[in-house]
Amino acid sequence: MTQANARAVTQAKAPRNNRLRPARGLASGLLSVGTLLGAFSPVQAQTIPEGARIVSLGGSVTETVFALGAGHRVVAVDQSSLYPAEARALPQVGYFRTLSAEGVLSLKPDVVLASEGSGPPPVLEQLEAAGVRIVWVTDGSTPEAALEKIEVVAESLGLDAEGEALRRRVETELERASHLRSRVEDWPSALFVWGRGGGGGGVRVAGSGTGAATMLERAGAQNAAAAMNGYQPISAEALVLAAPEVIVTPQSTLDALGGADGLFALPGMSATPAGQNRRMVVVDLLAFIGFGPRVGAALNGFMADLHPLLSSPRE
Amino acid sequence: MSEAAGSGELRAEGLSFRIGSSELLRDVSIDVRPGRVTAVLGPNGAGKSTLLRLLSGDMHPSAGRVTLDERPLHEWKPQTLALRRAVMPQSSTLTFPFTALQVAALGRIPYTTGLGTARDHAVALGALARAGADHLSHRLYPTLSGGERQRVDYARALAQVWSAEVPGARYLLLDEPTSSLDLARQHELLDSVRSFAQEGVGVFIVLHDLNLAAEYADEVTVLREGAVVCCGPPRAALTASLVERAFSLRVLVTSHPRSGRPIIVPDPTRDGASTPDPGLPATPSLM
Amino acid sequence: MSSAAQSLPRRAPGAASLAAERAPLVVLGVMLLGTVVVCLCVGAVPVAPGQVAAVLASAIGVELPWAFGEREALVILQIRAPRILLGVLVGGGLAVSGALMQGLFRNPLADPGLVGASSGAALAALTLLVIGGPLVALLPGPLAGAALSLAAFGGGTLAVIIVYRFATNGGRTSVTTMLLSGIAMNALAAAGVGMLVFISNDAQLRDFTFWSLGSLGGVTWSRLGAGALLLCLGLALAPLLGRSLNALLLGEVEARHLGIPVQRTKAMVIFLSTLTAGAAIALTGIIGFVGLVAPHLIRLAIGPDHRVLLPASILLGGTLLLSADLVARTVASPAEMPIGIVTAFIGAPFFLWLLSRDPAGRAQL
Repeated sequence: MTQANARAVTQAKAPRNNRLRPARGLASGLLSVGTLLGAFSPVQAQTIPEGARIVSLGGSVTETVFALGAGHRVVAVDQSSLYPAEARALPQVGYFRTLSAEGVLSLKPDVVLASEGSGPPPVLEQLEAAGVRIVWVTDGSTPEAALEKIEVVAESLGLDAEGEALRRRVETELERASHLRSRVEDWPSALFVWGRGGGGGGVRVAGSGTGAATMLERAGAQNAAAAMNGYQPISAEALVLAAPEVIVTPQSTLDALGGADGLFALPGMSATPAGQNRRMVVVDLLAFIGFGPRVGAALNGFMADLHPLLSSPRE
Repeated sequence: MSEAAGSGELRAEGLSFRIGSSELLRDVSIDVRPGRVTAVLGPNGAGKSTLLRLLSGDMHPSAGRVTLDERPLHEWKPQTLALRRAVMPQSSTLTFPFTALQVAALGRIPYTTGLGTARDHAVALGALARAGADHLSHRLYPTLSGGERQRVDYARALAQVWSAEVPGARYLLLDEPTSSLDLARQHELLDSVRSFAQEGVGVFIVLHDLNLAAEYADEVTVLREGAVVCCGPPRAALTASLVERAFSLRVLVTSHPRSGRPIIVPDPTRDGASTPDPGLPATPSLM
Repeated sequence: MSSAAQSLPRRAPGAASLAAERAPLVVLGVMLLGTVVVCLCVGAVPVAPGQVAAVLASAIGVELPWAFGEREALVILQIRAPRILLGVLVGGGLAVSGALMQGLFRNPLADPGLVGASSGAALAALTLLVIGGPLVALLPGPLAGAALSLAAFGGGTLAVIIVYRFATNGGRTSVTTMLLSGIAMNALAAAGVGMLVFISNDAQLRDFTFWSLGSLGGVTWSRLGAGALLLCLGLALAPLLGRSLNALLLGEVEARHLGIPVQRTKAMVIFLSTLTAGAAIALTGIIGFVGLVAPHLIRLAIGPDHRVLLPASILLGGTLLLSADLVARTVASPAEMPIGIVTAFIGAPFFLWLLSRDPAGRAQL
């Protein structure tokens, strides 16, 4: 479903991004600021010049920028930009869907690399009006979306060579995963478990339509929770019914549950094949479902753990 | 304005009021005349407060009608009616921290649109003074004692019909205004009621105390089980037999040594033969 | 000339005391104006006060000697100014709707949320966020942008209308029944919210969480639009109810004796309170505490006379919300804190402190 979206990745998604619009409504009539704003010169550049100040919104977009070697140009990131570590040291503009126009402007950015869904929309309009270029980057829960992100970000940064190299690397990794998967005869039934511990509905599993489900499928595993939609809490009985052979979980969840013992002590878990064999695979959450440049590596790493008997000829 | 004041009256004719199968009031007629104090008496549950609520237009009678200046009460616009008559409830539910002065000034609401005028303010002060509550004016109403509140409520009613600002007589409907007052305050308040009536205001007052009614009312109506037992000037209406019929209590009726108005006391010999109390004047009109 | 008229106190001390009644409004007006000036001058982007003055002056065609750039002009005129106007309107709206409800219910703790305005708005907003996507896609551009606002306004008013209908029988509204139906409505809406939270994804849930904490961010002149007009209408009309609400505080019967059209007043109070609260929630999400605190502070300071209380609450509500927003947009700069967090974090302890030193014992009443 995201294929179509991914195709549409383009800066034209923000149709007005290169032109300042005169202030609308109340203000234009009342304060005649339209003429005032008309004095701005439109931003013409297609690529972002070397000295430009970048605000990067969205974990995978930030990862992409850093992977392209342009991390030094980033002056601020959003709350979800947790990788790489350098990004965490930068000023934060908050949650990418509740940005503050003045807060972002105070960083004097030239460009905002905005993940799809960045907002609220009027704030981005205000930023555009202030002469900040907005580059929209489509988000998607597929490895292909990661490739699109690399293309868009590299092109906007004028890093065509770096972009091409990074893209090829990820593509190769994905191809290898795909090739590996073709040799998997018996797809194990896997369950992605995510969330906090502490009883109640603290733990949720990845149903259909989730990024984690996509990754399971790409890795050659059946999603034991395919009957569910989205990330949902699961009852003990449904867990027994789902009968996963392997539990896939991020390290943070494992820590919250108190390690493997906590995980396999979840109600119903002992009645599943995974619980009986204490079989689990730990993944890096951001790499696994962030769909950034690390997706290929994450997929291969995951497959190596998931299908330990499958020796890779090219490894 | 005095001509207008003399013309009309607040009149109830053949009022009945029924809730479900129980009849709270049965064929009651009463006239409240300008310049007169009309008291209604009766045991608990006799229908006194029901009568007041019908007279004030809070409730509609099941039968009969209430008129003001010969026009049915429900045809009057509430705003116009508010300029003519004030009602003092038995108790107030006001819990917000208004000062006593502000509460009295609430009586001026029918006359104001924006913030109060200097005259409203002066009237509120005057009303507090006449209610014997001027020393309370800056106290917060919810912190007042029951008796103090009663005087402030009374002041609010006074402020509402303070002076004749529209044609027609003014009316004051008071529901047991002295129930929480001590002896001196009771008389002080009823003195004030009477002097107010003498200015041409028609007063309808629900009272518990027969002697207070006898002392201050021009007319009394005694109710029992929703029906009128007797009515008329206190001397005529408050006879021992009628009081006994209304209250199921044997009483002695004597007269005030100064005013000559009736004084009603329980008959200590009500269970046995009648032996006049030595302390009472010699001519009790027993039964 | 009746003797009653003669018995008035000689020279009424009325005039002086009337001036005293109006003085708080002047003081509060000056406070609001001062807050507006501070809010215009302070923000993440540094703009000197002189530049602010120059920008404002240039907007009306007057030149002042302070130089400023386009970015300063944009920040002042397109970001701070609409946001300040929004803050004044929403703060005033929340405060006055709280004051109206407190008067109607004769309870200083009441607010429009009691009869379902907030929970109805929340349910509608979350419905839109979680399952309304396809519907929004069908709407034309401007409507789609305002879809969340429209949903919140519609949900809030619908909830109150339902509660009102349940409590109104034979042309009379029972305030007690209204309170009870409000409780039921809130429970129902909470169940609906829970249901939607259950089926929502993380992004939707996060959006909803932020919405339910409120924000004045992202406002532009054009987005003020209809919501601001509704708020202006409510703010202009609400103070006219002061006299009637004063009478209602005595009780409905007493108010009728004072010539107040009680049923019409109740309907107007509910209508205006819902209108202002609904429009405020629609514009900014749910911002707690202002509707409770502003009227309360006014009552503590100058008493419960609604003729003063209502306009004073508007002025104080605007001041409080602007101040809270100033904190919200500067404390975590360049990010922005949801304003509901600020109003509660600053408002609640301040309120407690105030109650503890309440000299007149007014707050306990």
